[in-house]
Amino acid sequence: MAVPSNTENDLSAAAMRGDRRAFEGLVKLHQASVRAVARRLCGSASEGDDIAQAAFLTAWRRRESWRGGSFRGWVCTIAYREFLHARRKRSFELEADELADPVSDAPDQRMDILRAFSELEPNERAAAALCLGAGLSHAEAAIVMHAPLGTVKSWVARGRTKLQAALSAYATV
Amino acid sequence: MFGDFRDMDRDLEQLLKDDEASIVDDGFSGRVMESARGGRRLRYLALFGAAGLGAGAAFEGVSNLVGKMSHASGDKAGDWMGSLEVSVHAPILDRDVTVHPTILFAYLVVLVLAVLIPLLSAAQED
Repeated sequence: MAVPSNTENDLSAAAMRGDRRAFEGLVKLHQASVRAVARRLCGSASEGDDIAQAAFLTAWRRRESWRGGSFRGWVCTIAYREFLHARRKRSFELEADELADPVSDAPDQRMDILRAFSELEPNERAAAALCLGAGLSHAEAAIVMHAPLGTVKSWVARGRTKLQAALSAYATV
Repeated sequence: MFGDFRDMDRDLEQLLKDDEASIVDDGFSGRVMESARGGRRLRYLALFGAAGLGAGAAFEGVSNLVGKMSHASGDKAGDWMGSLEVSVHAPILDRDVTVHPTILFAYLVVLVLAVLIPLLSAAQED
């Protein structure tokens, strides 16, 4: 997990003591990262935003359970659990017509990234989203996903290769 | 196409970072904070509601208890609390039950705390 800056450490410590303004600062600071990870997990911008919002709310309500470290990594981990919980209730698989007719005004690149993630196997998608997006280490992702370290490494590697192939059009020459 | 392996990794990471950076805060933070406040309001509404219901039930219980007192007695005027006993007719047992006033007092203290603790914690959080 990336080392948090002093400012982020101060904000995190204050927020975890119940300082609402500090927590709002953290949400503003990390909303893009957490939403990006949640969107890639869900394969959908709107569902991902719902998951990200639920993750921040859970983080606020369970702030006593925060054990330090990267706030972003912690919330992304919560987002992954929220995603699993939501997936158990209903499928988050992208429908074909949603891909063909995106509801958001997202640029093509964003849609292509979501599409590339949605085409990965579920475990590859989660491992890639957590390690490549949320910045979790392989070991941290292994703990979150309750999977052996070597397995997570291979999920990330396979996910990375497939993403590179799917998004090759955006590569710099 | 992506170049060599290191370039490929760098390109993918940069692409994901660019995608992340393009997600603007379109009121998302505001919605999260609003939900956090709304959630707290609901929580306290539930707590106060439960405390109110408990207090109401207790008040009714005490009222019934007073109504069913068959006698109250005290040995000494100065030490009335220690020796006072209240007999209550318990319809289920079909006999009188003796209750020490300390139990009633403790019951009232618990009720007061049930109301005060959420109030104090709400004030502290604000």
